[in-house]
Amino acid sequence: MSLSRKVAVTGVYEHPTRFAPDKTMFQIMAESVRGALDDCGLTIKDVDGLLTAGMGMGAMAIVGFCDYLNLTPNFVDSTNIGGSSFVAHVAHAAAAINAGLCEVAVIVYGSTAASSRFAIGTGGGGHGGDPCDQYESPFGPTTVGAYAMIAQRHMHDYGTTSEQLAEIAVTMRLHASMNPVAKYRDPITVDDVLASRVISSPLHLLDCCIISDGGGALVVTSAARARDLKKKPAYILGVGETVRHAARGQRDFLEIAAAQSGRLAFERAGVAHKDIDMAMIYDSFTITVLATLENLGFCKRGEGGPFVTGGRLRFDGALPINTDGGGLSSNHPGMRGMFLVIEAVKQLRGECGPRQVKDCKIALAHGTGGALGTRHSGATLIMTNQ
Amino acid sequence: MPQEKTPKAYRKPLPHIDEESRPFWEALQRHELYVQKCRDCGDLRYHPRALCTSCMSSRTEWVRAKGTGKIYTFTVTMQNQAAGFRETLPYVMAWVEIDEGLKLLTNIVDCPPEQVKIGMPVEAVFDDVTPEVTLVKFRPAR
Amino acid sequence: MPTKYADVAGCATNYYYVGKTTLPDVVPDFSRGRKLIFIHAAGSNGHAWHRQYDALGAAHSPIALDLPGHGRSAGVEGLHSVEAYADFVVAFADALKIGAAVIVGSSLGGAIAMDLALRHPGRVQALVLMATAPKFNIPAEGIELWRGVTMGRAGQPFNNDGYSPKTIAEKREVIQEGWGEQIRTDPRVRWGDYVVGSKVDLRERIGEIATPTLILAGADDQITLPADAEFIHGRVKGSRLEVIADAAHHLTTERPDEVNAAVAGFLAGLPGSAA
Repeated sequence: MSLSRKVAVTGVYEHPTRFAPDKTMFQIMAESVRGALDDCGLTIKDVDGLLTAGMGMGAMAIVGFCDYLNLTPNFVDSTNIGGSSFVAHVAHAAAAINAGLCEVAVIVYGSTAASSRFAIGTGGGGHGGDPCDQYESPFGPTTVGAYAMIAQRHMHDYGTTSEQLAEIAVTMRLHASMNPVAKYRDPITVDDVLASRVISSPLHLLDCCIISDGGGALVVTSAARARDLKKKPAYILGVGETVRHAARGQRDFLEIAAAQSGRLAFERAGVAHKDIDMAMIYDSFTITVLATLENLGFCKRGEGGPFVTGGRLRFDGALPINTDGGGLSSNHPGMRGMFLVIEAVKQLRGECGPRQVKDCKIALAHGTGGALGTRHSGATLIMTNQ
Repeated sequence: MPQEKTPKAYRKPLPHIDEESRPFWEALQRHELYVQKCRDCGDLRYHPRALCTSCMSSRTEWVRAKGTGKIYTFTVTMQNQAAGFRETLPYVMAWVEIDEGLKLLTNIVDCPPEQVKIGMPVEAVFDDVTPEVTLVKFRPAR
Repeated sequence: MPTKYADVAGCATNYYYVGKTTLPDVVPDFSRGRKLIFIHAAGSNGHAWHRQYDALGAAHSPIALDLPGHGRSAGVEGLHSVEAYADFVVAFADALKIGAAVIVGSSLGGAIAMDLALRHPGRVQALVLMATAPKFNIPAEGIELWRGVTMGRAGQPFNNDGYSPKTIAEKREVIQEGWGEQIRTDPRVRWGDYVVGSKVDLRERIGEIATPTLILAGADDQITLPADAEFIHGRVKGSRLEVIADAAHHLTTERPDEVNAAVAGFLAGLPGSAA
């Protein structure tokens, strides 16, 4: 890809809050922008590109946020494809920087989902007034339910078990215990996951992401500019994005967007699966992780069940994932893509302390937006510190 | 003396019926399920659209579906705070693959949730939820 | 009633108060009558005191805080001991430039208030203890039930146990309101508070409390018994005890007029009060 190693993520900041009833969404976003700029040694005056998305944001909220910051950027992008948006934003910012449309792009997210008591997963779900929504919302698809249907089919086709899914949640909680800002840090067991009540079969409560307040920001610049700044750059190697939906009624449901966005990212990066030292995999639900790992090609379709067991996904395992504790235990204010990129960059910089993956040179982040069982987006990003 | 039943207000979301989809919804009111077939390339599609999703032709044939199929996947939803749904928990949501080879999102009714299985043969039932709207749901085939 | 945030040791602490609003860094006017700091019960929040601060606000300066993790205060957890909570209330008073105040506590908040009076006596002008005990009887199954709620084994329970038969029969809206208050705080925090409560044992120490003390109990309270209130009354020299009929653990919302009158009368009788 003509973009490879030309652009880098040079500043990152994850807002430490998980419950901030004293703050507004824009405030959390602005504090995150400030944090990411401080992280790399730039100031708001350097910023000439802005990308953002959020739930409950109107179509032109990015203009409202520019007002809040008093920013008049040369490049704006409010692509909203669900929780994966920020992973896609990295690609969009990279393309813009590479094309000379801007030099310092900030990607930002913030949410008060918890303190606003926003029932993300089990309210009506659905995506508003799109034509496809008319044929779905009358039947009550909740976000959890839409993911659950994928788990149900996977179990039917391949014998995947709730215990296998539960192990993903257990690993996420282990990682969270090493992350001082994660929301839930006390250990859980597979039995705890199975004993938690079923929200939408076969998914239990502990198969589902938490609800938190939170936010974060990234600073993206050219590789050349990044080399002058404070922190070790995370160079973009490859990107990919796409969507999946009902396919006019003829969808193969167990194929998800990651199959295509992942293939694009790997091809463009020119790396193989064995080269990935750690992966940040959007974990709205345990099944999201399993389906994503299969579709990205880390294992064959149907082998996801055994693949996620035996400690493989631990920070010290063969394919460490979500070392921050994920959306299942650390941070999920409604959209989580931002935190995938932040933790991947921190791993590449060697900043992760007890949860640091040894010799982390190449990291992958894959975001999922929307719902696997109805329609969703996927965005894959591969970065290196070399 | 027979009690007059006061219909309870229907609180679940209703589809927005527009000119493009009107024939589909009117057919459901007649208790008929229709899908579409492209007159140019023959591709079958659901949900209804004015243009073919394969070749973009506007020449559309409305094909009456038999109303039978199998459950492709499902979930028993135990928690939903939305109006209209929280009163009817638990309920079963499913993708049903009708015999014509198309999958529809729907509810499985007239079946204890614990008996619902992938692959179960099902048949359409037409639920007149309001005077203006009928929804197609599925029950175990008899 | 207005609310405001105070930064207490990095925790954005929400509190309810009475009177004119002020800028963020300006402490409101607490010069009316006595300053009262209300400490809520396990899993509760400052708003549960609204019938008290509304009634007492004309003549006095009531302040009801949300402890960390509760109500609209920041944080996903509460604190882990009564001592930590008491120290937090003192830090909160520091942030509001309050030296000494009348400390009012209900249930676990009463234990926090008693500990505060024992270890920070200079900060306590008087003590009002409601529906509390020097040692709580919190069954292990109850704590386990709330742990189960946090683990998703069950939805959070709510029942009439804290209400008197008369309230149950005639004042359902008060019970409804109680549920509304319960769900304003994360079950995880309530569970933590029950664990904190299970470790409280102030029976040996409360004899050392040397501040004017009013003890209120609901006659029908089965969670903290009138006998617990009598025990405290027996140990705290010069304390006054009032048992309120047709009230149980939630006497503040069940019989607010009687509670408020008892408190107002007690405040009027404190040394240094205006005649």
